[in-house]
Amino acid sequence: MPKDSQMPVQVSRRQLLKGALIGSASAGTGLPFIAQAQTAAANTAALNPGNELQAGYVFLMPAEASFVEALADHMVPADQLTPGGVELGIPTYIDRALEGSWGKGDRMYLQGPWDKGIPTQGYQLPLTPAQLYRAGIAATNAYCIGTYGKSFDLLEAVQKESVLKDLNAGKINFEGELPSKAFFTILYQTIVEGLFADPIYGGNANKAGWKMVGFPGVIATHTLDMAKFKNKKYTGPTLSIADAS
Amino acid sequence: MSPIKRTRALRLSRHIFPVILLGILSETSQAQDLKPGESLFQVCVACHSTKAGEQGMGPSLAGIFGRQAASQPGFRYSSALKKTGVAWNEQSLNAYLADPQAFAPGNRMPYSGMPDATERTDLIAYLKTLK
Amino acid sequence: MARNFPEVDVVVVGMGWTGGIVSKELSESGLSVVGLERGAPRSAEQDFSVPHIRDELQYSVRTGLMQDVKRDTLTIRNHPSQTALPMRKLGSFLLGEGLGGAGVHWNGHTWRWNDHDFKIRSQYEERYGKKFIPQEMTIQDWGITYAELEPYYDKFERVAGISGQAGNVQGKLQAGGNPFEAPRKNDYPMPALQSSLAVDMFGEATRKLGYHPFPMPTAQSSVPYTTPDGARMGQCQYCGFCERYGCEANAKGGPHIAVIPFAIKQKSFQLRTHSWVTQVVMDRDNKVATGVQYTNMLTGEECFQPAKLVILAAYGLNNVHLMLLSKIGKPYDPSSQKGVVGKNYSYQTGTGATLFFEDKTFNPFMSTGGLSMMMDDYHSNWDFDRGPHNFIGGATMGGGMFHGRPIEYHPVPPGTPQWGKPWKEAMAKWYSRAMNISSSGSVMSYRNNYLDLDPTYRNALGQPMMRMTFDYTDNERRLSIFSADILQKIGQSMNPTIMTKANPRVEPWSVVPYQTTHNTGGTIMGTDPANSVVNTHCQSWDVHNVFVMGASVFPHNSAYNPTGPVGALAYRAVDTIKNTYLKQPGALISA
Repeated sequence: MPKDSQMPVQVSRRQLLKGALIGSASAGTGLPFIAQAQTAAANTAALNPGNELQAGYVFLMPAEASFVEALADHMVPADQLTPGGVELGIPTYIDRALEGSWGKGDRMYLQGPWDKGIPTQGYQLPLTPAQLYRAGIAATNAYCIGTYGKSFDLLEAVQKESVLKDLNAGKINFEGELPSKAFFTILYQTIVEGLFADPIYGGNANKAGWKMVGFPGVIATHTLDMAKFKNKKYTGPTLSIADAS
Repeated sequence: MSPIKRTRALRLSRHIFPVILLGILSETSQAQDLKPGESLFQVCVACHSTKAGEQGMGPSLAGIFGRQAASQPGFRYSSALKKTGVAWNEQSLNAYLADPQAFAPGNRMPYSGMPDATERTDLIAYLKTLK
Repeated sequence: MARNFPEVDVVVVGMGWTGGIVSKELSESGLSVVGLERGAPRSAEQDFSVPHIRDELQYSVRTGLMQDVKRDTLTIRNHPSQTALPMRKLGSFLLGEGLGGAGVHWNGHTWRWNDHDFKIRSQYEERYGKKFIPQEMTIQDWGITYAELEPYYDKFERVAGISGQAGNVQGKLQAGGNPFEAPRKNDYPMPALQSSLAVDMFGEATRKLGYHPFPMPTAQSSVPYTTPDGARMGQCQYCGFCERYGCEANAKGGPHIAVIPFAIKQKSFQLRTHSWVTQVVMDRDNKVATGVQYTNMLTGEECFQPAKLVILAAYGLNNVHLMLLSKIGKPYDPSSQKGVVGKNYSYQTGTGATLFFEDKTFNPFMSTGGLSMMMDDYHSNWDFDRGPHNFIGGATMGGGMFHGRPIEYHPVPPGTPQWGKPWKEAMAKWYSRAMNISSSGSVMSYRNNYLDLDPTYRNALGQPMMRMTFDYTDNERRLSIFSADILQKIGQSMNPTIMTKANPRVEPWSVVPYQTTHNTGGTIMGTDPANSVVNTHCQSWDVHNVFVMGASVFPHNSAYNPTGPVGALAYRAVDTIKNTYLKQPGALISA
């Protein structure tokens, strides 16, 4: 029976985001008098389609979408710092990345013959990132069902934590012998990317990841700031590729 | 290549910036004849040509004074600069050069600004001469 | 059949720093030159425009400006007893590709290697005795001296636009500079960059401990700068997108600014991009090169470019590959120790630590490629006694951050969970409250560290890939343990709230995490064809009209970054070509 928990999530995610965008755009930016005329322009930029979370997936199939959403919300939970991973668009980032050229193995040498090799020789699987992801999610869910009777997304938080820790430590042996550590490496990397890559890639919605740490983004004319902000908190705006286009 | 004359205290602050600049230019032939504005303009030459129609990393500044901002064909301006809707005159240039990001947030000129008002006046006077 | 082009005086393989230097100098002196670049053309206004270039995912994580290893890569192993496997993704080193090569996305660090490197074997033998050098260590004197190279260092620094504080100008020590540097005729073309808090703090701490810190000499422009040829460079904006990125403001020295445009101005110069050179073609007697064979990657067409002089400037590793594929010189075999091509491949080691300060604000994103304070007390300082520590070589140490790009940089104290709420809180708290200290260590050359052709794997053009066999030895492990210990002491003296432990690099070299793109050796320089591939003018001993430019000529690797001598040796070789070789083509030095 397909889960329909996706539908309400998507609708409320959209609404929440629109609210968040409006809220942030009207916050005072401390711009000098002459630039106040530009604030309206900046506000419009914040409401551009590029900053809105796009519903729907092109790569992730239903069970995979549930897995990735559960993973994103578990690794990047909602708190006072940022919304949760799903609202940040991390699953959207992952979906588009897997469907895109990186997911398809662009700029990787994937030809055989293949050999497991030793760790110092790095990645030696014949799999593209998308293939690894797909196989890894299936294998992880099979493990979870075998161990807990439920797929990853339906586990309790403490059970999810245990699975992830064991994946990270390479302690889980997947059926079919897909190396679980290699899968965890790519999982974790894509979560970090979904949190911190430019929002144009689908994640880091409203630049919340950047704002969490204080990374100001793509406009970086700091020649005078080097002295002005030495040992002082930077107060400039946070701008993305969309903002600066 | 003869050594470049330089000041001892080499921290880059806006106060010694023109001194360093003039020091470097004193090695070139006509440095003594450069008006202050033209010396200051050396900050801009990596990106901006003074020849009409010559677009590079930045747009040509020939005829810049009086022109609508972000208006030259053949150069892809940022939306930020287009949206200002200003014409370049003493006031708008002064504000822009003082703090480009404050004037047009998200514009893509790789320049942090000229905090000294007298320097800006000199530079703008020079920009006026670019036809 | 291959398409034949009209013969030219010079064909240059690769359009990075050395290819650009040679192309400019020789075309300006009236020679007909064809420059072939495997990758795509590039321009700062398009490729490095903002906001396009400010894309950490595309350019840092997915190495957008670097070599596409889908079509050509190397195979890797630590030891000859292992089977080498392809480097399937870029990792440890980030190879360049495209017009400007890695000179477009480097970090700018530019040092002057000195006689402690050029005369390494004789100096260590003299000071420490012959027995101090392990038998399997194949270091050798280069055959050149710092004094010979000095004017060319000066030239390269002006062309690349280096900002720095000199330490020794004509024998007079300068305050704030490196007291261990070899004497230089002139100061740097530009003053040192502004300092960051991290730079200030490292400087203060090391001074207190009796060390001699100085700002990193680097190719970011501290002020607007015009090169001697008239290339205009903007002032660095400290944007924090330096290494792995091209500069939007021409504020980082690069061949696409400093030399290639001047070659392009010459009618006698032709640039062909998307041109993948597959082999140097030899005459029937196998004595002289007649030109190069290449594939036009836009059409797939095979081409032959005849030339009187062939310059391999394709980056050290690709140079070695081409020599092997072209069967120039005898390939090195580690078991018999016969042959020279591929011999003495080397790399670098290093270690580092992160210091967390609850009460400081570092603003790591406000930075640039060379923004660090360095110390040379354990490298060019010949008074530093290696004896008790039992290693050959040395390490530079430094403090500062080059960037704050969040995918790559989100430091958290040791013990922080890798995900979840505590992770987020730690990232938020410490992102701007952390700074790095690190060391860069030399790696000597060894019998079993070498390059040859792989027996199994082929690239997209069907040619055997090059195989890299490399690992650290006890010498480098001892150096790294020593460096980590020093970093630990420096870090603790700064009284951080928390400090990660500086872990020495004692595991086998791995291709996975990024380290440095400082690959050296394979076509090494020397005074005797029995132990080198090129002479001190970078001319092949075997084929007088083939010159090899780049760090493949280095017989060992230093703690310093390689680009300074790479540029200087290219300029020196160009002078020899112009003033001597062309007047009477032949072996410059009788074997």
